[in-house]
Amino acid sequence: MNMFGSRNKHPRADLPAYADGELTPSQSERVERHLADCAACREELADLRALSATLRSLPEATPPRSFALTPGQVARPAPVAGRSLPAWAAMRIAGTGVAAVFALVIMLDAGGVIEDNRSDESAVIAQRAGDGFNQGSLESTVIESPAANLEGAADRDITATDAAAPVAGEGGGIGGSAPDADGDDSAAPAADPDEAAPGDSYSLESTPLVTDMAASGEDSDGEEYRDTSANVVTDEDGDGTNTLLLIEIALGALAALAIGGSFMISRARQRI
Amino acid sequence: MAEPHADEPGLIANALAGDVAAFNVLVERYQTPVYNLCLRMLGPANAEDAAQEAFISAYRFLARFRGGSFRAWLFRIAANACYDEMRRKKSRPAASLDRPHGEDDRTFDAADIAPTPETRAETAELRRTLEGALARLPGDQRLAIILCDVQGMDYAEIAEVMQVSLGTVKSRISRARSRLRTILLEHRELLPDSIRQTGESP
Repeated sequence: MNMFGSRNKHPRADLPAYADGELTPSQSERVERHLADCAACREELADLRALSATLRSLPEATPPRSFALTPGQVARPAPVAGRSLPAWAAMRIAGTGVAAVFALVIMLDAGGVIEDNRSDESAVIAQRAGDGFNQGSLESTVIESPAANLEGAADRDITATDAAAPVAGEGGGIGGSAPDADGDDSAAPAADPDEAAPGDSYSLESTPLVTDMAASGEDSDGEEYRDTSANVVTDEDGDGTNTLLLIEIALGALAALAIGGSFMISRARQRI
Repeated sequence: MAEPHADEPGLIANALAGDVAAFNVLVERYQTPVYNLCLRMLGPANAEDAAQEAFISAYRFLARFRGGSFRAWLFRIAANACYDEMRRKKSRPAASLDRPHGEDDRTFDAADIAPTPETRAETAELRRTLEGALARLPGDQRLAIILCDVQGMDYAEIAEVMQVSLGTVKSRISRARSRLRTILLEHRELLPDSIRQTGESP
């Protein structure tokens, strides 16, 4: 029976599910009616079953070792529901990148201080930069440096990185896309590189350190400053080298981001 | 086989409370199927790392397990570990998730999978052929067919592992089988009689 409808349409797409017993009773019935009349589909079904049987007969491998977790692998306290891994990784990478820029700013600016002061103070500042973001040193190095370096640009033979780095610190503001929360969030891990623990970066968002840094970052003009900072730089500089300078800044920030990001990726991979 | 073990909710609760030994009971229970999944997805070179990574992730994200089939949840994590690994080595001709028709996207040489002593050379050859064909399937189809035919899951559980609809599971398995069947047809003579008879028409 049903020789007309069933013969015209081979239920090819349904055969695998039929072989697996995954069709509804009515679907199965339809396939069976067709199979009764169609040698080609019977053959195909036989092949599919042979295929499954062969796959099922593939030998099961014994794990080369136990995967039971060791204390070292579970050093992190158990399982907290939270954000997905990719978002977490992205935050870490972005944060570290900005942290790297900050570190670069501090270090290069310390170099500038050597030229200006020729004293041992630079060592102290470098020390501070390594130990943690002391607010005093941050203000003196990051906030004041752009003006100092830009003014001196005409006289001094400034290298690309030297010029780029200090403004790159402000670059976070120029772009506006890297909000203070991000940059400052990352500054804390940078201050304590050994404590790069997954999940910890979240709690840092609300630490006093972050608030202080955010405040110091925009203590002059607040939000307005960031929106117009590109213009501010242009006005200060006032000559054709400005575009080049901005490109250098962007490149420097990108490089630091890449270095920091790749470091964190490898580190994250090891820890997962 | 798909029956959830009655003691699992208790073990999971204890693991969440920090009892690693309880979690390791689950590890011991599932490490063979998880390892074999990774082995079929990645080949022997990376299966061990992926399996270990899967269990560490499972422990870390255990609080996100919302009941249901723990096996399906664990396999989802293992599958993700495999996908991560496949992406990682994409510089090599790798299994592509976005190139469903890629012919050259095998992730590993199936001959790498440790050969087992075979009484019938033909069977061994057929298995090698199939393993090679499996390794050539796009990742999603490979995962579906492994879960179905190697791990013996039903479509509903596969849908849970892959986080897709039943219809998608059905079509992935259908496409995977159809590709494998093409290969099988080229080696029809390799099929053992016992298997060959299974579906013969009366």
